[in-house]
Amino acid sequence: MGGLALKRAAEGFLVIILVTFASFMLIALLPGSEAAEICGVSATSTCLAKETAFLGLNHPLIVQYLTWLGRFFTGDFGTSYVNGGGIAITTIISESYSTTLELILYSQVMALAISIPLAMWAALRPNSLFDRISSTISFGALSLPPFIIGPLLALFLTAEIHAFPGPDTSVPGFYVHTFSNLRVLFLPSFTLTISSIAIYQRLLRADMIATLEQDFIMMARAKGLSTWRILFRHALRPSTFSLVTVGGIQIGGLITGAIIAESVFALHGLGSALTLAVSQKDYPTVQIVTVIVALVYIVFNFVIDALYAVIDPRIRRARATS
Amino acid sequence: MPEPPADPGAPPGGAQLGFEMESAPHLITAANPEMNVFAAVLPGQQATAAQKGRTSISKRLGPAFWISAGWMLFVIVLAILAGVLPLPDPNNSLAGISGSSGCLPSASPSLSHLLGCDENGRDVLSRLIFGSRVSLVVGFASIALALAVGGAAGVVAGYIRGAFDSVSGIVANVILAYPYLVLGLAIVTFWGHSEFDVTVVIAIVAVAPLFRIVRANTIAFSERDYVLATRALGSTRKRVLQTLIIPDVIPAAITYGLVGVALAITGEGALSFLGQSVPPTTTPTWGNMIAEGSTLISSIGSGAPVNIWEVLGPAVAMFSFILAINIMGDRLRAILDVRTGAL
Repeated sequence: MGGLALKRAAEGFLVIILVTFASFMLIALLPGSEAAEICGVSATSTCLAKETAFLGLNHPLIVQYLTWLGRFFTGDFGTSYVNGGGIAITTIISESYSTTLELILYSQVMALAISIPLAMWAALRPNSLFDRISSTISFGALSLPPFIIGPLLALFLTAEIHAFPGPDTSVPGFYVHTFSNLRVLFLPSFTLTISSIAIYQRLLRADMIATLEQDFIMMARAKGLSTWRILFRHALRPSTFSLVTVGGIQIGGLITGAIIAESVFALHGLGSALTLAVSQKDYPTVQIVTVIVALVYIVFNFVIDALYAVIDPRIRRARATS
Repeated sequence: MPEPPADPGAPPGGAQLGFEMESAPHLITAANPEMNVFAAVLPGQQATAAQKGRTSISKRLGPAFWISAGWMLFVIVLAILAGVLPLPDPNNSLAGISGSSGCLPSASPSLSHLLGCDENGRDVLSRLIFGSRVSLVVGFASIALALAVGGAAGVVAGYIRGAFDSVSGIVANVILAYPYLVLGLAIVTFWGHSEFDVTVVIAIVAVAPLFRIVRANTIAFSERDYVLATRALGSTRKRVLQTLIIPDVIPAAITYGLVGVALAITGEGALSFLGQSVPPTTTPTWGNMIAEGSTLISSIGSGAPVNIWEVLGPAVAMFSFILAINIMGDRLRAILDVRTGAL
């Protein structure tokens, strides 16, 4: 077990090093120097010299990278280029991430609450009318990217019938008004929910059908347990392996979706901070947000990998013996 | 169903998929989760697909495949012929022009302007058809590029293994460690926004999952008995690759490439939607049309005229095109996938 865990950790460490290096190189590879970028068009030689020394651009690349990495991991993300370069990137991120977090959590709670019953009901009677209709709809929903769903939801539910508040820039962070945000964040979250429901429904349905064919389910039926109890107590856990895997990978899709949803509904989140930085050519902010998102994604997938052992005792045993 | 992830070589980062060999379709999810779930087929359905081995391919593909293929072809032909068709200029306002070609800003659909006009008095249908060009060119070109690079690397990595396999696997993991839109946005920021730039960016994002799938398929094929037998008889590696492995890998690669086109079009659409694909002022695309249209949504209540086809038109066009590709990919995979026993 120790060997395997060590190998995983080493591989993960290598990917983290390479991801940070690739992100660092984004700026290093820019045509023209970063100092010139900061000093602007009317750059004076004193400004250039000062910034070059400050940024350490006169050092070899590897030293620059290590310096940058050291600053990054001690929480010194540098400052944004825009608005005279005054804003610390730490501030930008700490002000925006909680909205994105709430958006994603909210969408996943909704997605699971909807997709699990749908998938179970469909799996109970494969090829029934309900199964075929729900599977067809979820197949269709997979072809609906968030930038189509979002504007359509906004169009029909806020503009036409005023069921929900429209785009709102003043949504406070997750920790401040967690529950009062739920109404405002409903449509943005639902934008992400639709494709999640479709994905979870399809995976869980397929796995569930396979589980329900197994002997222990027949045993449970023979014992006279209720369908409800069989589904939730016996069949659900062994059917969730694909779901958990994809749940981890799906974070990437959710971050993508959040970027779009925040843009459609004018929310101030990490995604809109990234979009804004991209459109303003604010390179350091783009770089830092990119690295952070990638690191979160990597770490999250490690956690998911560990979760396997929790939901599946067979893996615990396999890992212990390997 | 997936075996527990006990494979010690499972990749870190993007996809912690221990059951790599068995379920190659799951791998592509690292680039986009929307992909894998098409593979969620019933065991029963797989068996019937295999039993039908003797019916003709076109029949096994089913009507849904051919309707989708027809729609895809229709959209492609319209995009190619856009310059020849009697369409108004997509970038010039028709407001102030009298007669049948004139159009008021935000005019509703009419006979002379089937989808009406946008807030600048430009014909929505014309913009829709011209706008498909960027989506299609970027979608197909980027996947062709990604398939050429990722496919070649995948075959070599899967068959020769060794150091090349390790290095290319790590490169793929690094690419997959970024959510695809974040990576796309980051590169576009530093490179630029020409059609070529966007194509290359999307190719970079797409190359990793395609590499992995081709590699997994290559490994699956190269462990078959007939390959081992041929090698035992003394065939060279090159000959085994050319005559036994590559011909079998190509159908699978093309199927995933096709679904990759849908994802590439989605990716371009997302970049466009955020205004980070080709410059929206000079070139209409489906994504930037949706973005432009959705800024008007807030003014619906205020009484100003709004032509909702500005949003609906590109939304429906994009949805139907992606759906058509996904249906085709789903049908193709059902009969071509190695795992479904189409041998």
